[in-house]
Amino acid sequence: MMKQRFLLLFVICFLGACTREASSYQFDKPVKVKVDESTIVLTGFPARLQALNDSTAGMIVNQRYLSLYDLNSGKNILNFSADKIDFDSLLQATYQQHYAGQRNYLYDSSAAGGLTNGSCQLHSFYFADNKFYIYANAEVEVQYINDSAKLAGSMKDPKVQAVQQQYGNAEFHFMEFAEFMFVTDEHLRLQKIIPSYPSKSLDLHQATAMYQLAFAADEGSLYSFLIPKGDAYQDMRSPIDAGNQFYSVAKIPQNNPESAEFLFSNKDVDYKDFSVKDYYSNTHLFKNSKSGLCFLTGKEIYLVGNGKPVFAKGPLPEDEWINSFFDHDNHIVMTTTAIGKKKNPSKMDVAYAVDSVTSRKIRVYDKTRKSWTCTHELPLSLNTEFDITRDKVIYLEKDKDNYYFTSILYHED
Amino acid sequence: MKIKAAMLALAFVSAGCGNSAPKKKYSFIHGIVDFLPIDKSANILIYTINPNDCISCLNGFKDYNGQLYHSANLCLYVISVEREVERKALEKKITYLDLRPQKNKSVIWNKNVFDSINYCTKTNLPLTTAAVYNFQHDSVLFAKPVREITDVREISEALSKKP
Repeated sequence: MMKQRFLLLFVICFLGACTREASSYQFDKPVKVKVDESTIVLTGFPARLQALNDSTAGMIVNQRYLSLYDLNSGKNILNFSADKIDFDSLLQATYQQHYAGQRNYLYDSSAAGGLTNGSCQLHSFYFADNKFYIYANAEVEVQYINDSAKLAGSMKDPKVQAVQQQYGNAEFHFMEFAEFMFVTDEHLRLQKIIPSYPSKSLDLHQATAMYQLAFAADEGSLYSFLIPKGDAYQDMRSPIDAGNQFYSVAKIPQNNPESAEFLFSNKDVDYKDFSVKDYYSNTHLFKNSKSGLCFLTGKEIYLVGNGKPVFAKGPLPEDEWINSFFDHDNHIVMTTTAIGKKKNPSKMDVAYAVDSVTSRKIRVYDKTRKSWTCTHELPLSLNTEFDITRDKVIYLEKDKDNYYFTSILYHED
Repeated sequence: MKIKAAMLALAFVSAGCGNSAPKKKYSFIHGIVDFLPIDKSANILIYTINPNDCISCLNGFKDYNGQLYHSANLCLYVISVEREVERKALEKKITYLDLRPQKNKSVIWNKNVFDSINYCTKTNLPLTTAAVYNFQHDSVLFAKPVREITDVREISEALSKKP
């Protein structure tokens, strides 16, 4: 009797670690490797983590470096920073020429690096075809000397109007972000710089490209996640849809940005239950799979080429969001985060729509049976980016002394 | 007679010296400021700085700090760093002079202090924030993330406020 009870308990414990719902996936024990900080000290979790192959990952560190690491040893292999690029000259050769006679662009190196002496901030990157596409922006002053339309638009900004009302005529210094895509080879040697000017074509579609949140690239085009432009929402919990038509992706030809193609409108993608906060803060991600480039909305996964869904939102619980995924032939492996509203939110929590994390999981979805195959709980305390390769889930962890790459190998039985 | 005297003495102790009366509970900020070489008779400007904040917020902080002429002993800077190694790396790189150790200003490098002060000022988010605090009344007169401040005069008006 005692033996049976013990056995039963043991079985329950095993099921708790990995709840099998149909078949057949095993998750190994997490393997931790200390991140080498001998060259670059991490002052926070990286902005983006992408496995480049079985043993190497890249991430944006301290908003200043794209750093490559060996996942097996944690060793820092290579680093790219834009600090050696003369931004003053770059700005004159790009934005100033583009807006010659209309605007003056002024670069101030003391303002570009925040508290330190960097030239710009790196926010995101995409690796494809042995090339790195690295998105950077720098805050610069713009004088609209002969661009009355832009000046009039800027003067309509509610903050500008509030200052004018309170203090009368004031001298305004307008700051804008100058945006660039640095293209390097696999050894992080700079090959090309693509300036990303504000686009009339995007303006016409009331959209702003948010490369810092999600983008992809190939030889000819950049694919950017879009946010609706100038929409005044009541608060962060307001619905993003609200009857307006918007697109969430633009395919922007590198040699002719004005002929952008707009994809995934809110008529194609179900954004009806997305709040403003959901749209802006949950993971949007582009990722290549065997079937082609995929776009993750946080709830669903679509093929960019033909707009067909790879994973539709039905099976995912309402409070759960996908952080990353890997599309296998018959299964999709994904990491998810469930969130819930705080019980006693502060004023700030309400203003910024801050929620509590209630669970983190690895889930496996069977595409043929259209059901979950397996779920595996992750620690709730994780506060990081994830990436998933064909055989492992990778993320970063931190204790009081060090950062670690953690890998969980997974395999079918 | 002896007992009466003892009772009287006890009554004096409880009424006059206040040993058994509940002590006033001061805020976390009070405890921090108390030990710093800061002039406690005037309103104190506290910046909590997240070095990983967006560039506009960091520049906003630098802009306001530059515009407000503020005596070194009336200002506290708290920088959110978790590990000693991060602090050393940042100290080496910081080009913004007011935060350099040799400037002899009150600068605290500690994420827990950053979080606790932002909690006390009810701006409990990891954002660079400006707050105005009165030590004598242990009260926060103003607190806003830098990204929400439209004008430096919001801070200067709070600095001249009476609690």
